[in-house]
Amino acid sequence: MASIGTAFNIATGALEADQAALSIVSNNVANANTTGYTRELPVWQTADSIQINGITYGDGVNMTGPQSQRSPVLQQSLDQQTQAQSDSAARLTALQQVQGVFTSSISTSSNSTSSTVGISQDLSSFFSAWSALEANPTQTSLRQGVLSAATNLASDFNSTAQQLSSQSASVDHQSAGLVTQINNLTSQIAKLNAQISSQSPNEDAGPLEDARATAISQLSALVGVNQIQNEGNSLTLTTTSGAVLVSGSQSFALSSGLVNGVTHFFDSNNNDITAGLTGAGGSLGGLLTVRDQDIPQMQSALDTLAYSLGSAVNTQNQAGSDATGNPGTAIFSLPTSATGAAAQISVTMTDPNKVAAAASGDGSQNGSNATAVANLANQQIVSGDTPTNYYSAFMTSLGSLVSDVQSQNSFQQASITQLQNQIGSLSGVSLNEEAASLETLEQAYQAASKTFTVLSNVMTAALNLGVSTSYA
Amino acid sequence: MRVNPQYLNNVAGAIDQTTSVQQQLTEELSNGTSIQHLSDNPSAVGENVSLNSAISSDVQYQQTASSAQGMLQVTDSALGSVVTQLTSAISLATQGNNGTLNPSNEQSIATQLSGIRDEVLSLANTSYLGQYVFSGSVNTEPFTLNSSTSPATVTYNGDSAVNTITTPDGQSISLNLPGNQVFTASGGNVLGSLNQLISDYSSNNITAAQNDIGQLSQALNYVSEQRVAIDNSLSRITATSSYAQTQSTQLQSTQTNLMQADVAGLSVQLKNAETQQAALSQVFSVLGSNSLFNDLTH
Repeated sequence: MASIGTAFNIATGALEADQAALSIVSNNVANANTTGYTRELPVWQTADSIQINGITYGDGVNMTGPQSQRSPVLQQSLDQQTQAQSDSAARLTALQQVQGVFTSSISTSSNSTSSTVGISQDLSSFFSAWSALEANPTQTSLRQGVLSAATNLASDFNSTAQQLSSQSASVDHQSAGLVTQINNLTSQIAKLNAQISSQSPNEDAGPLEDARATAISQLSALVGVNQIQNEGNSLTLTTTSGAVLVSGSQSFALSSGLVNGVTHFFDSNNNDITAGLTGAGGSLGGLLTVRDQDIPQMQSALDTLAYSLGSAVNTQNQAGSDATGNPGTAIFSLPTSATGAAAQISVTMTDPNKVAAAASGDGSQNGSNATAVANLANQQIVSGDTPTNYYSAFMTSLGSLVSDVQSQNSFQQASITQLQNQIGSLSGVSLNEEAASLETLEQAYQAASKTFTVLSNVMTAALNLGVSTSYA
Repeated sequence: MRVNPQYLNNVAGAIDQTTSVQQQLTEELSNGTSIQHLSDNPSAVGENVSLNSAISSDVQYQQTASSAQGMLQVTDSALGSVVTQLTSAISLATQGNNGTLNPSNEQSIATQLSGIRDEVLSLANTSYLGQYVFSGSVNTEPFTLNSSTSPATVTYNGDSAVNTITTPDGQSISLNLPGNQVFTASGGNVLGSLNQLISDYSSNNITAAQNDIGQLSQALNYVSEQRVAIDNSLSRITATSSYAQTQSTQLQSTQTNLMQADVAGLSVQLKNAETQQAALSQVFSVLGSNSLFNDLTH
């Protein structure tokens, strides 16, 4: 037969359990806005029953402690999306600055001012200057006009190339700065791994796991990583290309150094992993894509344009006769190959009389060669395209690249929001829910204490052999 | 079903987004162009580059054409004067050849003819903006007269090169007539016939002069023919130039359609964004005040 003493024990246990649960609720409310906090629920467990004379009696409730409401699968998907999204976000930011170099392509003929002059306008002005010379080849002012237009064109090529290089340098600088942050996070994760393995090798480690997940999220914003779950609740992290960053309680620092003037990245064994990091997630992946793929493509397009145009104009000018009847000479000075042509192109000709407007052997009143140079505007002299069409295609492809990265980024952002909502609906602290728990626990506590009071009266009655006496 | 308790953050995110839409729309309205960045409409940007180039080449052609028109008009008026001079030379010579004049009259005709020849010679050396009209490609005075011989001789110092300009559509139009083709051609040697005539009148060789008049008439016809070629060039340039003008106007309006902000459309979008933002703020204020904690009784 169960005794009143057992009932007292049950009531006391319930009071303790309710108090513990109330502290879990308070902790949830306190951390409602803490980044990375995963809400905890009290785990109630019926105490082992007892058998007395073959009859089974319940023995109250136990609170076995808080349990974090966590989904490692969702968290890992979020980390992966974060890597992709940070990659495209960093690339987008850098590309948006790069496209700013070419804003002059947006100005129209009616609103263009001297401040919006760029390569496309220079190309038109250059060919216009030759075309003006066709009808009046003896006018020195028109010859000078050709040289001025050539100088403007060359200097805009130079300054555009220069701006691209400095964008590339600034991206390089940013990427180098990420290494310290990455190393701080990996060493932090390794320490947390050690703590988790020692304190809670077989089950969720609560706040420690929150901290580790937060650190991995932050790391995911910087660099692409793979996660491998190990024994003892610890994690191994590698870069997307396989270089180990964290293994259990050990972290492996990345390092950076200059190779041919650009920053390269090395793993702990000093292997160059720059190519493996490029486009492989995190801001670092995006920055390296811009530095090693996007900007070099633009530079090469500009170089091709500058080199092909400069060479074609030089060849045509050399085919004609200048104002004094001598064979024409080169107008532009160019490097021997297209590489670096946009940065190096310059005008070597200083004497307007050297502009070869006349056909070879003809006198200074002839403008046939000026016509021929002006006609280069409509000839496929740059990679099978006219100079303007080539530049226009270049602008379209640059704009498309930026807009592609932009839509990629907003898609990834949407998917992140989706995942955050999913994680939030599982792990986020809902104040309404906590209020409801408070109310419920308060009632349960009151009920348990009432039970205690009643039991106490029963006990008194039992002690006084049925005579009801005031006890207190 | 449990939902993400942080949904107020999503409302804040949505408000951020409408704010950024408003900012973008305001920027378009104030700049008057629908494209602020290359990535806003990459194909339009590419087309804009091509349009700018086409417009610039049309505009430049109009300027080149106007300067070429000046050149051709000077050529035409010089040839017109040459025709007038030759007509009067022929009538003078015919008058001197009717057998009623005495040798001193013949001498005076020779003198008058010399005047006409000098006039024609100076017309043949016409220049326009520092460029000789009839010298081909060479920038030197095309004709020099040597009066020490009889008949006097004329030397052509130019060449036979013809200048052309190219229209935006790629046609080429010739701008000049080389002097040796107009004044000293074998089928119509204007200056040669004049010199011969002067020499024959000076030496009273009336019979020979008669033959000379025939040759001069032939030369006159020849010059008129040449003038037709110039008039032809002139009218082609006028036509192509006005076509280039039409075309550039057309291209400019295409460009405007392509790049200009649609003010009415933008205003509507701006209004919509504003309404959306007001609604979101309303949502925020309703949701924000709603917590079960307010209903806890102790």
